[in-house]
Amino acid sequence: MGDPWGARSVKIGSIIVPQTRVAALVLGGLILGAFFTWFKFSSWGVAMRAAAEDAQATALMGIRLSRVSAVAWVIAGVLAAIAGLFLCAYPTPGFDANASRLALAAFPAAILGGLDSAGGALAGGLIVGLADQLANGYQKNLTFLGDGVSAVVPFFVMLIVLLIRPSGLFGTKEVGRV
Amino acid sequence: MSEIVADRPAAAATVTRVASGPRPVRRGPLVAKIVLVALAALLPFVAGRSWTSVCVLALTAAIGAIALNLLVGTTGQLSLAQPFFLVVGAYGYTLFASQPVKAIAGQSDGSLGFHLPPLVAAIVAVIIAGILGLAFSPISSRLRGIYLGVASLALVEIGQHFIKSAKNMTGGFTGRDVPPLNIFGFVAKDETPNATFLGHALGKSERLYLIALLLLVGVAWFTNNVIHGRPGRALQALRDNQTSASVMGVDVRRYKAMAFMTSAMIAAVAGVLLSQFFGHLVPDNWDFDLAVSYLAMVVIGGLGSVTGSILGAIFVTFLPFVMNRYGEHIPGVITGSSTSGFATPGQLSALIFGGSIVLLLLFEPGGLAALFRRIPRAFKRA
Repeated sequence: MGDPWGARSVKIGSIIVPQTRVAALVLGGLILGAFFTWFKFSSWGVAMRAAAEDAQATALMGIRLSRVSAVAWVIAGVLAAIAGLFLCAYPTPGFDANASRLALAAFPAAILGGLDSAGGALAGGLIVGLADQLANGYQKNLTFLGDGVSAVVPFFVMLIVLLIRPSGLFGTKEVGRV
Repeated sequence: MSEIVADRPAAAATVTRVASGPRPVRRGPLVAKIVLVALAALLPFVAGRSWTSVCVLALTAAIGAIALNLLVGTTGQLSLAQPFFLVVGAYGYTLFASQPVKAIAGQSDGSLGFHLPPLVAAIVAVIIAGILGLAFSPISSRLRGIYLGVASLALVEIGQHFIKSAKNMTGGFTGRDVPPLNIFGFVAKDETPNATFLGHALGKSERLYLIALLLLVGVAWFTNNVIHGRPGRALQALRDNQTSASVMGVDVRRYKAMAFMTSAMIAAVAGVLLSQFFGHLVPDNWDFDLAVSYLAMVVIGGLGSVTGSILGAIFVTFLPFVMNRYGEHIPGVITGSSTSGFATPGQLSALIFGGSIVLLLLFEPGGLAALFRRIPRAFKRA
């Protein structure tokens, strides 16, 4: 079969971008769009959202929870596999046993934005990425916090957000108060 | 995330528990327990040295697993912060018990130390862990489920960063030597000549084993009383349904904060023991993987059960050791110079962990503890 893009790159204006990255961007946009349309409008999507909201009521409405959750796992697996495909393509050095750490880095972003909000995940990703890069860039001014502080900054930001909004920035607020 | 979504796993747990009836408070005959502990105390004088040191690790892990189980099993608060509190115990003890080192240019970094008596240092470390656990309570008492899990992961990262940055306290990457624990003259180190007992030398491993066993018995007794007493009922009530628990008069946030603090302190006890076991502290031992292995102990052993925590800790600690030792007799395992096979002993034990968690969740969600409870019942039926 062979690698469709290899190590080629395209020039957009004055920036050189590897073709794999362009493909990832386009494909990611397409898949995300398709998924959210499906999630919002198809009957399966409705069933899935209902199951997330109240499993018992959903089952009483005649929806098979086992199938819904099986489909959810299938989709999660397929999407993760696509992500893995682009993670191991050029220009990354490839995959190894430590790849599980990548998923770990995504956690603060998702939690910060609010787990049940897709827009929140995007915002959380931006905030975490920015905080990380800013801490990295201003490393020299942050030496009093120790070396490599950029690894901890996303977690600090997440803790502060969770202190003020316990279900993330865009997550649905808890109804009950105890 | 809405209240309803967050409540789902808890609601499911309630249903199963109602179906099997309230769990009876089983307190086996005291004599049997004393005999069991006495037999366990004799173990290092029968088994070899390497087995004894694995046993020390297992006992320490059991203390840590009990701490985590109080939080995850009894209170229903998912926590990955276990390595952080182990770090507080281990490094805190080392910091308070060590002698300060004067900074000499190019020779030493001027390590801090308070040179307290070891026992006092250990107690101070445990109290500090409690204070830190309480300081985390604005977060730990408000969040639930995966939110708390990830938030507590932040503690692990912060702990790692602290170890690597605060070099004059922790020794940074080069690490720091741990002064031996001394409990009223019973010092956890090799002496020349070693005292002997039943023809076996009473060396560092044997001494540590006895100390760990004593602490485990204490911690197990304490936690069992907490779980079966009034606080335990309150914690289980708020695990199953926060709203109904608070309606019945349980101060939910206070109890959650207390559970987190108690768990942190017990974990710090395990941390002090671990520091003794390692003898030299380096940053690599206290990462995310450790948090996961403690969760594995708790899930394999059985949520909410002290006995289960101990069984899970023994299983998780012994499996890689046994695999390494007897791997050559298992077909398909790569050992030594041979290259044919499908897995190294470490990989094989990871596979067995994963498999046993899946199997347990499918067939016996109560874990090893529930499996063990079946044995006497099976005898009665026969």
